[in-house]
Amino acid sequence: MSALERLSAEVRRAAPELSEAAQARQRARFVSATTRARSAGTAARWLAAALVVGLLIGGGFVGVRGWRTASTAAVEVPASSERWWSRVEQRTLERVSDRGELTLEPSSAAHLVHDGQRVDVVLERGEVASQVVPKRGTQWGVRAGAYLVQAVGTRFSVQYEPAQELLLVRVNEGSVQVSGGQLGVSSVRLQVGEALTVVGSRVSIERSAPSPGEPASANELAEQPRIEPDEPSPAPLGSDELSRPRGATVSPEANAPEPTWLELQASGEYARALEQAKRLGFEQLVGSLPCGELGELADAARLARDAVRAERALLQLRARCGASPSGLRAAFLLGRLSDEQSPGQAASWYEKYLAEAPGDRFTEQALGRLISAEQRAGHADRAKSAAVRYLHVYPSGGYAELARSLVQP
Amino acid sequence: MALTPTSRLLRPAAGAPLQVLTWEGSDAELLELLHRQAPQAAAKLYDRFSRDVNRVVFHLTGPDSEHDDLVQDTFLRVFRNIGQVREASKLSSWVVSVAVNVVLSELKRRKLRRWLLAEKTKTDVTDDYGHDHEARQLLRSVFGVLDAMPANERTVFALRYLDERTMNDVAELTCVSLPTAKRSLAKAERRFEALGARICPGLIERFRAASPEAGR
Repeated sequence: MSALERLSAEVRRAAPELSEAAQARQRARFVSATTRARSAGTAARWLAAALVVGLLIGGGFVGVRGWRTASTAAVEVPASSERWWSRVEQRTLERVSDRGELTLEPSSAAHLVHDGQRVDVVLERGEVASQVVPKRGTQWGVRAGAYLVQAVGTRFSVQYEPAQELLLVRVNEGSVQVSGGQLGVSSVRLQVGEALTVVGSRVSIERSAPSPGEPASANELAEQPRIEPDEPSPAPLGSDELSRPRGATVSPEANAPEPTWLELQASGEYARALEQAKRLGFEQLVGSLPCGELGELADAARLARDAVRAERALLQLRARCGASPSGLRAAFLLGRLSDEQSPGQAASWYEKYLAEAPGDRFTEQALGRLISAEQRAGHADRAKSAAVRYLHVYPSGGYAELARSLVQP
Repeated sequence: MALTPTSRLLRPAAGAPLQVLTWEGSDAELLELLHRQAPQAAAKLYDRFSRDVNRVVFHLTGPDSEHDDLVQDTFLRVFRNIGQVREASKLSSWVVSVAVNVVLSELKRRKLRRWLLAEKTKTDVTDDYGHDHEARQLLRSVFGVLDAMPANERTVFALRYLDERTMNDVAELTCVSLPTAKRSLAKAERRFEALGARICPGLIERFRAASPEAGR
């Protein structure tokens, strides 16, 4: 090998790998540019950009004024935005907030759905910027495909391009919680200055201005799996007696009622959510909540590190809602709960999950964890058998190295 | 190559990577999607070639603040001119050749700007390129020398040595005949050594000393 070849080999070793986050950024930029190229053209786009279809309310007068469109709405609305803000939808918005601004970028499409005191913008494509302050007892968010961006008195924007499998969430004020889609069982809490990018299967979070002493990192939170409700809550969240702590008023005239455990859970305050649930009667809730909310309660207990209550809720979830996705995934989460303390028990939960929900989105994790759990439980043969199964399906998966170490002598 | 220190890859569970559902279509299928401008074609194009394009751009320019722009420009040119490609077997090499052309044009443009405006280019080796001081120093030195070379020679040198391309590939990617590519490389090697000795004394000697050929 010549000196130049040696030097070049050293340069290749010194060259850094392009991070997944950097690739996600490049991909989003390229895809976004090609999308723009296909749209009506630059001039039309700039004209359309002048259009801000929004809802504005002068703040300070509770429930007196209604939402109205922004004054710039005089510009012709692009065809793709015609569905925006009917009178019914304006009234719907009044349920969650009496002030704020909601801006839909040109060529976007969205509509509103409401369920009790919960209102969501369903973003079909494009970008929406939200500066909405929800009323107490109401929940507000943006649904983009399989993702839910839950707002907690905040200013943020969501861009969603289903054709490009692109989701961008930026937080300018307050915080949001993002779940669903590629996040799997995880939910991510984003703080001010943070941006979540999901492009295809790549997920990254970037922080524009990291500040010392900030709350738990999104990574840490993301490592905590979370159950999403199978369907929207059938009961209005703000008026649901089961979610309201005893002694707290539900009267709209009352001053600042305490947030419900579901609200606390949605905003990532798991310990407080669990405390609230305990005040209401944890056992009573476990026995009476609908499946989706029971999953939320199990999450609150798990993420608040209360393994006993988490197990209780998850077992109940399996007993009452066994056939639902939440019920099936409860087996996986029960495995996770006992993984460290009793790997043998964890292994049997993983096996249950794999048998009951083959092809579910945590199959790979369950199979990978099964290898590790059997190994730690001292079941070498079973660990090897799980490793063979794993490699057969996921030859380059996250646990492939561990599996190969068991399969290859 | 823009690496943001604050960027973090999100993983759903400790030790387990996100499940990657990559598109497994062939180059022929990808080409077909691109030709009919299917909605996800651009994303799939990027996914298929991002590694190749990033690698060749890095080898041709080194740590460069405009790395992402060059990658973007490459993909946009590929996307806009995809109609020129009819054979799927040539898609991969064509994408790389577009990247080489994009970088070569940029290097020439910089050279001209440097000459006209007495502008200095600087190799952008920041902490983003790792905390290994020696590795950073090596990148700074090597690309500092390459910066001083004519764009064509630099490109041939980088493709042959850093990107480990065969001489046939180098000739094809730079659109010259094989003998011309060989002559360019010989010239580039001599210039690299001469500039290296002047700009960064001891750089090549360090590797020559380690080479078994040194003793012959």
